[in-house]
Amino acid sequence: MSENTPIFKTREEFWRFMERHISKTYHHLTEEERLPYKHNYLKSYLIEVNSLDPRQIPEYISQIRLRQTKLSAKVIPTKDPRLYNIIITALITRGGRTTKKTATFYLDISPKLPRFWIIHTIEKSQDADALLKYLVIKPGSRLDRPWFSSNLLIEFSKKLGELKGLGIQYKYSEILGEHPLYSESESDESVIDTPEDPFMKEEFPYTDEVLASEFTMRVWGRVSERLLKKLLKDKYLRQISALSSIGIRRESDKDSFILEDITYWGKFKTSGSSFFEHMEIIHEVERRYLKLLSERIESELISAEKTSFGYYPKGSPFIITLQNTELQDNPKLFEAFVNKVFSGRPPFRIFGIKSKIAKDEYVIYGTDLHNGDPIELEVTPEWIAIHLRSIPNQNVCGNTILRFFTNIQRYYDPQAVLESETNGRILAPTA
Amino acid sequence: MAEFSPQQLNSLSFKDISPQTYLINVMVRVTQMENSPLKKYGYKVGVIEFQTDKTDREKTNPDLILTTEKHSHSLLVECKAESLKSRQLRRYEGLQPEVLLSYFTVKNPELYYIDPVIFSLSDETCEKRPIKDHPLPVIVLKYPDDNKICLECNDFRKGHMYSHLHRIFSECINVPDHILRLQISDVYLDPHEDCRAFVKRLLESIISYLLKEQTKVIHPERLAHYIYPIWEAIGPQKQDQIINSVIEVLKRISIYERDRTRGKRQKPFCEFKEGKLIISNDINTYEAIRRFGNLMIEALDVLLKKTCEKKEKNLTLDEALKRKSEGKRGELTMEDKVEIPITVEYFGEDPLWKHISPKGEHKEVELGKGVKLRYNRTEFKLALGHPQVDWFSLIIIPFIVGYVGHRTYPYIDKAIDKLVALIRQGDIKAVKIGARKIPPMHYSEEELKQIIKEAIDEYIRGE
Repeated sequence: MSENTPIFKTREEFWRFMERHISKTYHHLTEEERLPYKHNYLKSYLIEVNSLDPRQIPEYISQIRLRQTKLSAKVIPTKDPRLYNIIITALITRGGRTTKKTATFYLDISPKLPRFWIIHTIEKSQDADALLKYLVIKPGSRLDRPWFSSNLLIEFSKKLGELKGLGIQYKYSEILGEHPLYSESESDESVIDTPEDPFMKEEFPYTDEVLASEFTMRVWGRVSERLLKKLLKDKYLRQISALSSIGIRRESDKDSFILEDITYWGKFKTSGSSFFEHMEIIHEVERRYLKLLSERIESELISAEKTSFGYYPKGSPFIITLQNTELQDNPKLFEAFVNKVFSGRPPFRIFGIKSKIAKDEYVIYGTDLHNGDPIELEVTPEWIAIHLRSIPNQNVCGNTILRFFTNIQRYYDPQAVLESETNGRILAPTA
Repeated sequence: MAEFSPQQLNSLSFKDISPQTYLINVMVRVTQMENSPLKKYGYKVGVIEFQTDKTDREKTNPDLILTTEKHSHSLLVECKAESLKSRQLRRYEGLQPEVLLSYFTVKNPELYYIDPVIFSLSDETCEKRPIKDHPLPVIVLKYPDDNKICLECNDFRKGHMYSHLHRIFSECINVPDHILRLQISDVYLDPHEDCRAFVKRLLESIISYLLKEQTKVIHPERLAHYIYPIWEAIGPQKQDQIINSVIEVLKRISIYERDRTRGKRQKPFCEFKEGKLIISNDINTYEAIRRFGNLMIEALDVLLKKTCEKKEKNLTLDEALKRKSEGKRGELTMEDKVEIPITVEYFGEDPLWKHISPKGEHKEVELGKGVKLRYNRTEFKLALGHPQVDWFSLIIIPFIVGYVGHRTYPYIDKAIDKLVALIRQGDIKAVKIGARKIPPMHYSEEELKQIIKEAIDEYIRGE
């Protein structure tokens, strides 16, 4: 934990501090071209919450069982019932040695958009990312991140400000290649409450003929927009251009501006002169995401409306049309894909009983481990049909669909299309 | 409405569910889909798998009742994949609308009337005797060619909905490529086409239940809500049937788990007690449920396979489960073997006759452990088995993997060598194995061995 991480008593105190902090960050970057020791970016994370009360976080986090890590949390309320200081600690034991990781976060709940918590921190990215991961990873946590597909990130870049940065991470090799999924993640994640990796590495029918096994790129500057256009125009490059982040510059006047880096899983890293603009960007992203979620996804969940003389079934399956043809006529690769995606491991987190019903078709009777939503999928090399069904008196979360689709784009097919009967094309590649 | 780009046909099909379940789901889908002509007249799903409160002799069980409150009319849909019974159709003809009015409220009860309709997958339904005797309207799903529902023969009753229904079904209804996976009709744990889908969805629903309700107690009735998205719309008798099957599966998980952990330093993860399943709630439990699911499916597969039905008439699900969970090993018994009849036709007088069985009696040759060849003048019987592999590998793997070869039956080559040697000694016109008739003189010895092996393989797989 940084020594200068404060604990706030009021929202005003918090707001002033953050305004000063991001200005300092910008000043250091422009004047000294780097941040001084122990001065980190302000980072804000969006977390989708279904029912957790912030005051229950210590109890909740103490229930997370890990083999090598012991977690604890402390919640210090402020005078504002919508703002909390949260200190999360992890005691990690490796080879008989125990190390301690602690970070302070500020939990901010918007009265208008309570479905998403905003969690701010000025701790080191590595620590903050790892500790927050524990919050969402527990099966049944009902906590999730927002999932911004490439198409959505491009939409944000057009609406929120000027595109100044671009990140691409296409990780085909992690799902169908030599590396286990989420290899970069903290080692504990592989033992945390997730089943064993069902596929031995050497059994992968990996082939050298793939278009690209991995594509990682990061750029900051005016060239970003031009580069994005080039990537999307090129027949081959667009097939591997899975956007992982965008950089935005936004200003309301000369003295009030913000530079924002938005990651596909809902992390906002910022510098500039206006904390207000930073919050505006987050709220704008939240609003757009919620609109998509509630109007185009959750309106389509399979349910039944009761009428005076019976029931009216509602909803229709979501269809992902795959443009990548790697899985076609390759049963071994297809099987590996199904085993990986439905193993229950992050980031897909769908735990399924699979059933091969034809040479190139599986039905997956699955459960979304983040909140237990029942989900059935028909999977073929050309398309995937997702049936997410609701349960009486229980919330069913459409975020599952966006998580699945975003990660299909990231790991297999950036050109995949998400659609449904009523809403037509929901997310499709930008031309 | 936004334009919906059509997907490749054959989504779902009915590869993992029965045709009857498929038809129910198709009809629900065309009632609720965008631009549904039935929806236009206000038809909604009244009851799924309904049963009138009558004695067995008089009751009718429509698979689906679609009712329009506004137009005071119900369509009683009987989804028929196979046989039709005259008695059943006669009951539909005689069913009085008042019976159903005790279940629904409609705007003008005095105008209310019903139309029983047969929904089939085959246009040959119209040729069936019961339909000729009881001319109820038959609508057919033209699958997979057109994916449309059309009126095939007979017509609806002449009431105020007649012209609408006649037009809707004469012009045909286009079925969306992706139907909803709602109903699973057959819930018995006998070998039915739906039983695997039912068990899988049930087990998946247990995990959903545990995660959603953050509990360690599973109530069968509540669990049914997880399995069936429109549970309330299912008829009460069917609901009872489903709950009974749910209880049966929950009990089996508990028994399996108790047996699995017996004598080991492990605690069972669940127990069925006082009508509830008490179960731990962690990822190991979900894994165990998945394991049990796979085991159960394999056991159900055993019951489903024709050969096994023939050979193991009295095999119950519990026995199959037990065998699978124990991974039965050891000596091969007569019940475990597969016997393949091979008949031969001769050109003229049979020189082989004298050579191998001068008195016409059966001869038996042991060709190796677990492989016997029994034969007389015209018939060979090849008994296959292997003492080193478990019963399931012996019976099931050939079905799944699709070959008999070296892996499953290491002595088969020896048996085939012997067989071919015997065939070569005689003036044999044809050898018949299952549906294959093989003229041996057309092939070299090696080719003949290969062809015979393939034919045995096909026979075992029931092709």
